[in-house]
Amino acid sequence: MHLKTTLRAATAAAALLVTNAAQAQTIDYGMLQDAFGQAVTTGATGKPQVQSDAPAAMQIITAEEIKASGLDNLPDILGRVAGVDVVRWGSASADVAVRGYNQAGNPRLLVLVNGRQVYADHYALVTWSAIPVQLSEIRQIEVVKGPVGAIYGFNAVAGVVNIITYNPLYDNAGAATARFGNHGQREIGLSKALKLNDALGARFSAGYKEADEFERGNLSAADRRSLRDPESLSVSGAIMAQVSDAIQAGIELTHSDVQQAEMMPSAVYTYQHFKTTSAKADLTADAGALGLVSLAAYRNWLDFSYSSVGSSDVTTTVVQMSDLIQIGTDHTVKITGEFRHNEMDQFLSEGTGSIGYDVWAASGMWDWKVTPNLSFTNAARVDFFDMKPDGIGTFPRPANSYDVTRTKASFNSGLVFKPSDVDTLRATYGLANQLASLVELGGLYGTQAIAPGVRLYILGNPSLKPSEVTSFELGYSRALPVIKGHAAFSVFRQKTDNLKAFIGAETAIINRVPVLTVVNGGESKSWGAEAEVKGKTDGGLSYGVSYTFTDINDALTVNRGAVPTRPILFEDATPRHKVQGELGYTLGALTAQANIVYQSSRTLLKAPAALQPLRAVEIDGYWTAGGTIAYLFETGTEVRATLTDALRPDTLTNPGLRTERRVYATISQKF
Amino acid sequence: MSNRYFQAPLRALAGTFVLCCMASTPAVAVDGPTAAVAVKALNFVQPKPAKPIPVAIVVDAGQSAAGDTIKGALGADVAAKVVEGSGDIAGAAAVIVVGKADMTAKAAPGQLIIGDMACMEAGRCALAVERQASGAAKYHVNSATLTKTGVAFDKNFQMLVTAH
Repeated sequence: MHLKTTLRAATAAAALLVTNAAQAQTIDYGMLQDAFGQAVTTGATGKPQVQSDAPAAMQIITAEEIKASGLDNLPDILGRVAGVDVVRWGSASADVAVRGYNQAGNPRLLVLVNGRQVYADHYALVTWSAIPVQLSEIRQIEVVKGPVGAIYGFNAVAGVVNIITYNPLYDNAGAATARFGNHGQREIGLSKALKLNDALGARFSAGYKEADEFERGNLSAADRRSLRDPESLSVSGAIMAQVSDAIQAGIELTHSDVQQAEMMPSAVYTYQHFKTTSAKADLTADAGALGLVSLAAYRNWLDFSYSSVGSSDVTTTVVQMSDLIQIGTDHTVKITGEFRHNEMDQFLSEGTGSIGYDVWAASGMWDWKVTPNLSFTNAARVDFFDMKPDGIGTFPRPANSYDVTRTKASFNSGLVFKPSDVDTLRATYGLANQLASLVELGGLYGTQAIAPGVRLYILGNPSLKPSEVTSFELGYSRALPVIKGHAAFSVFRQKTDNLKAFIGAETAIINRVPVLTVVNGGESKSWGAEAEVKGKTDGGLSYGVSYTFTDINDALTVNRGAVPTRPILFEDATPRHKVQGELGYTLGALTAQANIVYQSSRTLLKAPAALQPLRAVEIDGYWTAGGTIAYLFETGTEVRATLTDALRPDTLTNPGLRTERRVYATISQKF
Repeated sequence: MSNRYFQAPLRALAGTFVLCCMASTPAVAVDGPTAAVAVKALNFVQPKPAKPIPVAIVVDAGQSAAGDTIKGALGADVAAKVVEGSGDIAGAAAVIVVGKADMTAKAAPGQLIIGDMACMEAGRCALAVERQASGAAKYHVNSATLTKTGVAFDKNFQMLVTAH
């Protein structure tokens, strides 16, 4: 009865919204890019904008660029972007960071696929190989550099990677791919976005991949035991429908199953098994004068196990509602409300209880076109966090210390000035919050005997404060019609307060009991610059060069002794200099691309085994290079060969496994 | 140190800023390539017209050659015809005004009138395109004319255009 009343009310409200409305549209990225001559994005503000208008340092990697790179995985593709740092821990595992602060299980980068987070909240990390997307179904990857918490909420502190797939209501795109190479690499993939009619489209993708794990490297026996050959499987399906002239709706289901060796936040290798499942429904309605109303709801399920640690599961439920309204000719406002619930069975002792929290959030974005050449965008968001433990182990902390509420605010502000139709100047400010992971807040709980009658407790810290990242940035970009390209430069200053310091070998005492726990570990400041030039000729030649400078100064309250006892070190962990060069050539059906990278030295921490003191390992600066060559037959079949890390058989890129040279062939068929 | 040291450069900077911000958009005549970009806006008109989209190119008397040049530049998604002066524009989803004709009174509800920047600023046309040196395109719309002619765009497109 109650349900019926609610449904009737919802139907009436929907009918009211769509009265006299025009045809609703989600964004047709391809059509808009074709019309405006540059990529279109909602990644910076939630409002559709051409890339050069976005009040953020943003790079959009197009489907054509993904294909031209010849690369077979997301981290390597993202690594081509100035300001992005990749640490490859093994043949399938890698961490990606924006503007420094990379570490094992990097928590600072929020990653979304069509607006659904694929960032895993248990450890606050991204397992790239578990993302259920095939490269051939990606329309564009938007990389937003800098904190964008007011738009995305918690965890978008270093930036956001927004992966956008083809939309079957607008796009007909499909490819079958087979890939094989050295190190036992074998892969098959299939993707298809199919417009069934004007009102219905379906998208499907599936892929399987396996390879041998890298072998060389100075690893401890414990690390060696954790190595396995990586294997991943993913499947995804979606249906989009034009329900009425004013309403579009979609559903999406995904699943992935990944097994691989992964570098854990504790700086040790662990063999992990991830099973992810997601279900998402969304609806967009053109509500006439009331704007563009969007409703999205999704649930992510993650079952995870770590060979040497334990297993558990996480359920993440998100409901978002927003209204994007254009007011007059110069103002656009977006109002968003979001509810999020995260729940995890306590880790190491699954089944004993669960830890979960609710987040209620409200945000507003206001974009003001001050003059035709000047726009000013402001956004603010408030997140109310309420944690609810349920039967979890907390000793020696008092159980009531886990009842935690927090209110955090995020801000973004950006001024974009276009003095001419080729020049863009940009000044931005951002403040975002990095929420501690479920494990860090209390999802982790275990104990071990360290002496007769004395037990050591390993547990989270519900009092852990969210890290707060503040950033100021100035940017300039100029289209260069003479070289059919552009140049871009940006400089930023960033500060992180309340850094999180994960569990290491440092013991604390709580209520006279020895514990290993997570703490806030001080602050860190950084500044850096990114510059790039890209161009091409009528003769089929394309070229690009980019430079990234990053300087980080830590002021840690942990790791102050001679030997690091927690896996936290940022000052020397990011290369100060990274230079990339790229040269491409197209001659009819033949395309080729070569790239070369120099990265200066860095120092990364590594523990020989869990909960042991760490050692700082200096990774010397190195050059690396790769290339790809392809031939496209008239039948739509493409044959491609790709070589990565080609300058030597293996390269020391991290304190664990050396990155080995890879060569692989790809055969793909469009359909 | 006197503030005068800063006043002159600040004044120059402010002057440059004002000049840049206040500068009017350069007039761009409708030629073939510009019209080819302009008709892409028809993909975002609500309700969406069926393809090939009928388009009338209205030229001043004796200027059919100019109309034919534009017609030749439009893609296969458009079925164009050249009309002189006060010719028949019935059935067209869009009217491209090449000369000085004012089609606002004659246009049927829902017909998109495309012209150059001067036409759009004068309110005789609803849409004009500015092709930029970078290769990008900027769509300008006259909101009053759009309303008067009963043309509505998809909201995402509407948020990307420059409204006057």
